Amino acid sequence: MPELKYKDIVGDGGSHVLDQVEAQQDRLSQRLSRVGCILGIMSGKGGVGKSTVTANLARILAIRGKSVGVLDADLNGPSMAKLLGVRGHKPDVSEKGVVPALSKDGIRIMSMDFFLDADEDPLQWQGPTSDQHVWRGLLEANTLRELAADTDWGELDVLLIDLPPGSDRLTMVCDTLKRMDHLIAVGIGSDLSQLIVGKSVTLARRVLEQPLLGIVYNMRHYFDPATKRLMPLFLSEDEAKLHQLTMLADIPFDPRLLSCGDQGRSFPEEYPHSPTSVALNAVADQLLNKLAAKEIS
Amino acid sequence: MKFVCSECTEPMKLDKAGGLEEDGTFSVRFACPSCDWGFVMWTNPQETQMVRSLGVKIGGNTVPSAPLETIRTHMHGSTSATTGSGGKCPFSGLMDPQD
Repeated sequence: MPELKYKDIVGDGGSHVLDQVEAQQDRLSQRLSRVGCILGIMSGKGGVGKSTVTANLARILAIRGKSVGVLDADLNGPSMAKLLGVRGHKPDVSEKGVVPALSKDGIRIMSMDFFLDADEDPLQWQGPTSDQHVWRGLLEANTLRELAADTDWGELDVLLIDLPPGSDRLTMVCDTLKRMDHLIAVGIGSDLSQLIVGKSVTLARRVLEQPLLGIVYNMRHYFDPATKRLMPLFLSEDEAKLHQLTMLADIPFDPRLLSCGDQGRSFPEEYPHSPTSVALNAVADQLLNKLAAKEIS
Repeated sequence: MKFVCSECTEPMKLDKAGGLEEDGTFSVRFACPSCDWGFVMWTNPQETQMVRSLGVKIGGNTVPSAPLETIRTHMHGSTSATTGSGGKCPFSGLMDPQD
């Protein structure tokens, strides 16, 4: 056997796989170079409302005059198209890339939802039907890279990434995009939420070394539009204190937020003075202050 | 993955890539540039799919990938689009029939 090491062997026989991978990375980095700030909305836990936070934060940033994009990184449970009222968009291709959906408030959106035919269609891939775990993760990471790299985002002030639940997904998204300027964690304050969100916060902080802007509490309170009172819902221990995070906002649940999301309408525009919109605006304020101070990106 | 001729210690060169078989297997012939000794490597369906999932082409990529090529070529429901019959994929008009 020759005493060679892998790195001593020049080339790979003619496939130039490394060059192909580098070309993929160049394409991605070139596309994202026109994005001012990439902000991931994460939780680790499902059902805490991070997609709702993402969609409404995007709307508020757009209302404030920022150019905003949303990349739906939840390939298997895409929700951004519905929440932002652009379901049914069929992406076309221009010279500059794939044309994203454009919401009424000017948000550019890319989501797997646009490629699924019917509401009940799950994301399915062609390939061997058995042992899909061998390749499915790779394929989905590559798909996410393509969605980010091939979409004609144009110049963006902020690109929001709606992350899927699961701390492993956080790693996959950050590894794939190679760039994540900041992360916001979303939690509901319950003991269970603290337990699960804490894992993603630890991963983001210690392993990925991604700067965390802070945590957004969601649905700890319920706002009753009839009585205009805030009632406790998932009120519990201080999750921000527990995870040593800045508490960015405490967003009360408002049933009108749900109906707006279901119908793809803009809650912040329709109910700008509701406590929920005020709290969402507080998140935007802190993000924009950081951007203005050039503390991020 | 790299291959070296055990006799010449020369990196083996890709000689010929076989077509993708119906069962998902794939073959690639490598040959030593010095002594011309060769061998054929077969990948099983999962191995073939794993490489395809990376968005790279064995044998090299002569042209840049088309936009969203992975989605167009791998997503369930895009087969009819590749034949130009106007299937589920929104890129059916862009597909090269030879793809």
